[in-house]
Amino acid sequence: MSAEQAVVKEKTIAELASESAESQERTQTPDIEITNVSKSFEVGRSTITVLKNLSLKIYPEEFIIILGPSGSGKSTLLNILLGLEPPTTGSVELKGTNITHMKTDKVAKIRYKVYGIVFQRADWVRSFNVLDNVTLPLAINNISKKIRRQKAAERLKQVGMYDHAQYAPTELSGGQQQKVSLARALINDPPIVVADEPTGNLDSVSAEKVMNTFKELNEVFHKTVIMVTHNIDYVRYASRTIYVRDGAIIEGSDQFKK
Amino acid sequence: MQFSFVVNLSVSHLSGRKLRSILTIGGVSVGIALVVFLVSLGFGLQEMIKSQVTNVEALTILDVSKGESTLLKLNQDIVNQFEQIQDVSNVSPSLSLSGQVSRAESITDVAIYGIEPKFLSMEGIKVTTGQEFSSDNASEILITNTALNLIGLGDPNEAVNSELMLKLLVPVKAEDGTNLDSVSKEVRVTVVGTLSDTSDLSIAYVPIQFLETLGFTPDYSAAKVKVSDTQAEKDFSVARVQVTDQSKLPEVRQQIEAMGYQVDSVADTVGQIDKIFFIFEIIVASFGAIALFVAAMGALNTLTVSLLERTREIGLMRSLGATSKDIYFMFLTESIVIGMIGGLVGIGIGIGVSRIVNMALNYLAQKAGGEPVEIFYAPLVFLAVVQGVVFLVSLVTGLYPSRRAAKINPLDALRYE
Repeated sequence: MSAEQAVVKEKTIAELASESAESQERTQTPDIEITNVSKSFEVGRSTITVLKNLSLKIYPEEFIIILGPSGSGKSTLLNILLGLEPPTTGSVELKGTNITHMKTDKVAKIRYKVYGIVFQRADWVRSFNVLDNVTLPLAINNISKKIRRQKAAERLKQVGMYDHAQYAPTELSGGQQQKVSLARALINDPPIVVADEPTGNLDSVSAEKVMNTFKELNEVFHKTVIMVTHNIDYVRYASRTIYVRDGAIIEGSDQFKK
Repeated sequence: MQFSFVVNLSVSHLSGRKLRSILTIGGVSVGIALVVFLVSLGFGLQEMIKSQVTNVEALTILDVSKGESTLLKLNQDIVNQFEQIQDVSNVSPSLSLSGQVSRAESITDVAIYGIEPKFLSMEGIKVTTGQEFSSDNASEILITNTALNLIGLGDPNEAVNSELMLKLLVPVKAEDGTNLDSVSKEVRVTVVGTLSDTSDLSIAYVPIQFLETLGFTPDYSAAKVKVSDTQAEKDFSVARVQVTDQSKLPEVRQQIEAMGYQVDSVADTVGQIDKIFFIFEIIVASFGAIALFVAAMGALNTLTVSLLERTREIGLMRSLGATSKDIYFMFLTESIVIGMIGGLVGIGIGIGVSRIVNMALNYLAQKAGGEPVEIFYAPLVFLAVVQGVVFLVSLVTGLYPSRRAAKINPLDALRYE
């Protein structure tokens, strides 16, 4: 779906969301809480503000879809949630820990414990096979070879890719690569799975399979799922949809569905 | 990150880019092989020359003589005094005489040394054919092939067990102490062994006690030889003092010199040889170091290219929880892996090539009738030092790319195309 189509449907989403009967404020402690976050970039002599005073709470076991056209700031929002870049102003709390101005190496360790990440373009250590690539998060964090291989095998079975364990990742199709990427994201059993346009490079059949896997993760394995996408069709998978445009969440879109 | 994982990662990267890795590691190997080849040639020549000059035992031996002094005595009392000095293990006195050996009509002049048979090795005597003295006072002689040739006994095997006439010329001292004349004494001796002589000298050795039993009259042996009557009057020409350890040599030397004697040591010559070769080895190692420097530049280039190629990989690893230190360590390890493999292969090539060259030289030498030689020598300590230097060079080479890799912003890395 193109960005124009997404914009056309924007109102509908907002309406749907606002019409959702039991809009409610949760009493649980949020997994992620961002408060009054702004993000600006210096480009030459001018300053571009990508996120404008944005606040958001994400609760355990939610399936959040962040929708928005290109350049709306949704990827920047995701990077701030992940601690990959700090906000210009505002604060970010992850499982009760303020990571706003934490050193990158310390955030990296927290990220390992809290997040499993799937990017639009699956990146690999090219000299490693599928199995060794899936073990990467554990290897980086000093888990023994025996345990990491065992867990990698389990995760590959979970996403139906165990038969390809000895392949080079680049030998796989886009859909298969995303599945392996998901197995890698799940290997350390993180409470939150974050996906940035995971179906962006996939055909519709592969994309549907990947989305069903995310749904299963959320509903069966009780993972919090945060997904950035262009595709409004995936709204049906989400427990809450956040529509971002011009660096702000569209009023009324941030409503709980269930 | 676990060390084993980082090494595994580096090795897998290197094996993933085979040609580039072979060229980079090959460059380091060539540099190291050159260093090993040239320096082991230096060590080999040094050892060869030293072995020509002396044996290892000789490095613990001091040659004591009276020098120009006419007042000093070098008799059994003095020998006993030397033996009392701390760290002295043996003292081997010897007498030097002029003499002649004859067989049938052939006769030649020889330098005769009276020695203690038990100290043959201390005197640096190597029997090439036959055996050593059978007893302390046997009428036996060890003689160089040069002397034997001069009396028509060119074949050492034929010479052993043959009998020679030995004529000793002993200087006789007048009562006022001045040498008057030489008195000759002729005895029959059996050749028990022959000696090789690189300097073509006519030399013969006989047991010192055999000289004493010849019964030289005290008149002419009193001052210098004094072989029979009273031990106190026996005056040796040279005494060899052996110390327990080479490091004790200067200390013992100082004490003997303090007694007025002249002390010489093979260690002096060996020290000079060592100094000259040290300079030679430094020069040849410098040539190798230049090659190693060029190889290090190659490795630096490879690492920098690898860094650019793997930028997204760095971003991925950072997003998965790797710290900047992990990334730094990862690249540094790769540099060290390149260096260490290159070093080991280079050492192998260096030793291999030197063996081949040595074999070729020996083949040519044998064809020309020469003796086989070892002109290359690579001590383990030297090889360990080479590998240590390679480690340091690769460490320094890896610093810049590692620092650059560690500084890459994870987000920029993930966006890198």
